[in-house]
Amino acid sequence: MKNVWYIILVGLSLFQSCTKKEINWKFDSEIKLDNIKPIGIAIVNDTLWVSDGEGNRIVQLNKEGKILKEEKGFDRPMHIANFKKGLAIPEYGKDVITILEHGISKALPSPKLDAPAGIDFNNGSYAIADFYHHKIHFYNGKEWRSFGEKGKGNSQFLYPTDLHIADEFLYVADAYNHRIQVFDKEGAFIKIMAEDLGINAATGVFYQEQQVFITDFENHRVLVLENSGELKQILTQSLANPTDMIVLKEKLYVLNFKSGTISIFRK
Amino acid sequence: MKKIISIIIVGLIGISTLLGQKKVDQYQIQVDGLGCPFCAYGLEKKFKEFKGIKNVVIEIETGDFSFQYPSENPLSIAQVVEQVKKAGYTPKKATIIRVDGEKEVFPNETFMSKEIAIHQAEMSVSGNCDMCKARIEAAALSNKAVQSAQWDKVSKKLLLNVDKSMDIKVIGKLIADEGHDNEYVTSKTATYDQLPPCCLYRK
Repeated sequence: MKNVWYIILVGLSLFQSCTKKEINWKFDSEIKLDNIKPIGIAIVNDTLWVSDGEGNRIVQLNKEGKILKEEKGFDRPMHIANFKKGLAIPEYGKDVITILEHGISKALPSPKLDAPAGIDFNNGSYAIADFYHHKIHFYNGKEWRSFGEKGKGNSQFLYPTDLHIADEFLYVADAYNHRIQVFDKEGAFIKIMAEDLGINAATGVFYQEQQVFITDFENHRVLVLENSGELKQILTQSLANPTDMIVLKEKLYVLNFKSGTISIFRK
Repeated sequence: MKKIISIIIVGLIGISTLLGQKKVDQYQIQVDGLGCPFCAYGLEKKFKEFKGIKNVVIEIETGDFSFQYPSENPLSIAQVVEQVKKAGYTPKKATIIRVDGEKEVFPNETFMSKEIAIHQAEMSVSGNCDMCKARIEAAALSNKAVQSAQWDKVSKKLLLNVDKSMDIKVIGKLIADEGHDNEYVTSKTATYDQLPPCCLYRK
């Protein structure tokens, strides 16, 4: 009888380890960009768009990194985001968010900004990382809520640079507090992530399938955490001052500001 | 007669065009350690607050920063250097080319004729990034007794070639005055808080 229980227990353990799929990202390749200093990345119709901070433009790329289309005339475009069928571009130098749709640009009405560094959209709501104001502005479809102030405590920021709206929560790259802060859509503080992982400038954040990806700019790393906060993986290969990342068709694309490249990792 | 009138008209147009062109001085600054785009573009943004500033160009790779400013309201070299420092950055070199062709340069080199005995010294200095490195080294080198200064951002050690008779604490004070804690002097909070975002090393 004891042997039967033993077999059942072993069997259950094996079953659990098989069903709990460990995601392990492996370096796949690197794309060299043509004279681009990449800061933000977004997907529109399954194609990649990248903001070029030095060139004051946004570019559409094919999978080899070749420029298919170029939109110029932005003032230091930062972390861009998909907006309906177009793009939202935070213009750091002009203090506006520009919406580019079907070749037409228009300003997104927003609270007063001082160097907007990031924006994200999700199901009719959107949020802006306001760098010099140390604030997040969240639009819930009806009205704006602004929260945050300069500091190191909960709900305080030190130069937020990016954010990602995922389901019920908002993940904020609190860059120079070297951490991620998580809020609900009312702006209520939920938790801090990654603050003890030795990050030096958490410039970008991306969430997908219970995983939180964080760019560690000065340490040339991408940290992969479970939503619980547990560190699962540290990516370093080919990274040089990474600023942002995104997952498209099971591949992780990481922008490298210093080298002007995109590092690709696959599951 | 028609020819004379045409010449007069063309001449008047030319004069009015010349009078309409505003006279500007050219400012060229080289800043060390502009590695972080948020900080670098922040420097550009701060300078754009000067009304009348034109053609601001910043190149992160080289640290070159240039702009034009109306000559009837000139900025001095000292003002430019101070403004760059106030923004939290370290000017390595600055040149102003005035509209009349006159040139002003920072730094002015002074010839050290006195022979001094040099020795190597090391001190711990807090900092984060390449901008910190530039600032720390410039602060140390601002004292003429320091021949060379190299700060390592991983070990946080500053290696100095310095006059043997120099009290290292004096160097520590200069570095703290720029916002960087070190083993001799802690920087004032108000000074530290003025550092750019990527330089905020205190936990």
